[in-house]
Amino acid sequence: MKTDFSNKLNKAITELPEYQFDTAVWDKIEARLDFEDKLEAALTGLPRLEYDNNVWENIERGVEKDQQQFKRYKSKRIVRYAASIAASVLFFSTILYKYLKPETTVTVSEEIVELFEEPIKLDVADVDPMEYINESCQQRMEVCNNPDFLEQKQQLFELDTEIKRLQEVIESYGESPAIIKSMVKMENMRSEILKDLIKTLRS
Amino acid sequence: MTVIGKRNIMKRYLVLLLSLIYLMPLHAQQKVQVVTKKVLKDISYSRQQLIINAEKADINIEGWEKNTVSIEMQLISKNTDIEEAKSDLKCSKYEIKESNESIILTNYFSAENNHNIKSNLSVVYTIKVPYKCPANIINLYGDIEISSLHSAVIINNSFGAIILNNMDGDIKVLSNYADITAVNIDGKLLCQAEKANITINDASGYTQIISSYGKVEFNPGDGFIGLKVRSGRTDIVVEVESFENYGYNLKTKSDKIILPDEHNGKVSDNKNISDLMYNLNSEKPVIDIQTTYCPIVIKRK
Repeated sequence: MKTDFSNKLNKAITELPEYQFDTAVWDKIEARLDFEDKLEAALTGLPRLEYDNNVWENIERGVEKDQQQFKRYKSKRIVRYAASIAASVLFFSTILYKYLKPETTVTVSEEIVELFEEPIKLDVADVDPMEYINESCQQRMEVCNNPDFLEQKQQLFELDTEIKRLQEVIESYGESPAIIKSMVKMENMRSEILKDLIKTLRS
Repeated sequence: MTVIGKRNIMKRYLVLLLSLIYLMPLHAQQKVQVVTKKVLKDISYSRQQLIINAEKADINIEGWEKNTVSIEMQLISKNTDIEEAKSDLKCSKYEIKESNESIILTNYFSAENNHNIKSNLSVVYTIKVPYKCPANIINLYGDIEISSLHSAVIINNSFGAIILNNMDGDIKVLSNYADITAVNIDGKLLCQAEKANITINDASGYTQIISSYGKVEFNPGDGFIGLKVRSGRTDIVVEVESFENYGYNLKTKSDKIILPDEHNGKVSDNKNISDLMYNLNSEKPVIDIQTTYCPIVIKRK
């Protein structure tokens, strides 16, 4: 009985299909084992970190902040609605105005402007001639009370006022050749009077 | 009325008029006491630079052939009261310093113990230096006159006059409300002027002017090399013997270039700029001027 079974088993084995094992399998197994060894070694070298105790507090604070931002977002949305309405009103009123106003045209062109250094700035002594005149007048009353001297001083005062007025006009409305030329004339007259007054005081 | 009667009346009027003319200046005149302190010093010259730091001074410098620097300083005090004039003269101070590099002259006014200066104080420098002595002069409220120096000269003056005669060298003038008059200047002259009138006659060599406001009057002489003016709001007038003797590069903003009649067509006016470029490729000396809001005038002598 036993031999019969053995015979059958041997026969069955001989009938089984033959398989040649893959030679790369052992290499793969070896490589995997090597990798696990390396991983284990690397894990021991990693720093140990503990979670921050304040994590939950930070999360809660973040949530509160988000809620506030949401509120702000809501108010921004209201502003946006209002701005949209205002923009629409402006848009339609512009169209209306365009239909109502007289026809105008705007042209754009380019001009080449010569660059002049204007006005020329010179590195001259910072001297106040009025200080000299006033100081000298305290010593030389008879000269300063002379009618000619007083008249020149009055002219100087008037020119100063006029120059200041012109500077204000330039600041408000910009330069124009006519204004600058008037200014040049007055500045030259002013410097001539100043030179004369100082010459009189020196004599 | 007879002719003799009319003559008598005219004679009376004439006498009255003459009396008035005679009396008028008498009424306006005032006797002023002048107290002067004179300082004299001669220094043997050994290639030093002359430096003057002055205030309320009239400075006169002249080049001479001697190897000596001759200094004369007059400290002046004017007052109707002679005692006050004398007392105030003490407030007029001066210094004379000399070293191997420089001779330094300084004057200033200083009142001590709350003394109130009531006199008109001033200083007059009369200096003679060798022709080749370089000079650096600063003055305030006074005139500077220099002649016959053939050296490097720097002048800085405010509220006075600057007069230069027969100079040759590297001359630099800085002026603030100080009119400049220069005659017969050779070498290189640079003027920087604020609100001053500049007159340069018989200019030889090269002249450069940078100015703001005022007026420039220039005429070239023999040996003229060139003129360059960069001005703002300054009137410019150049007088030439012959228009064709020079090259021109002229430009003004918001005003005109005016030439002798037969050359006026050469100016080009574009928008608010007038300009003229003429004879520039020739070997002729160039008159190069730029200004604004004022005319440039080229005219014949």
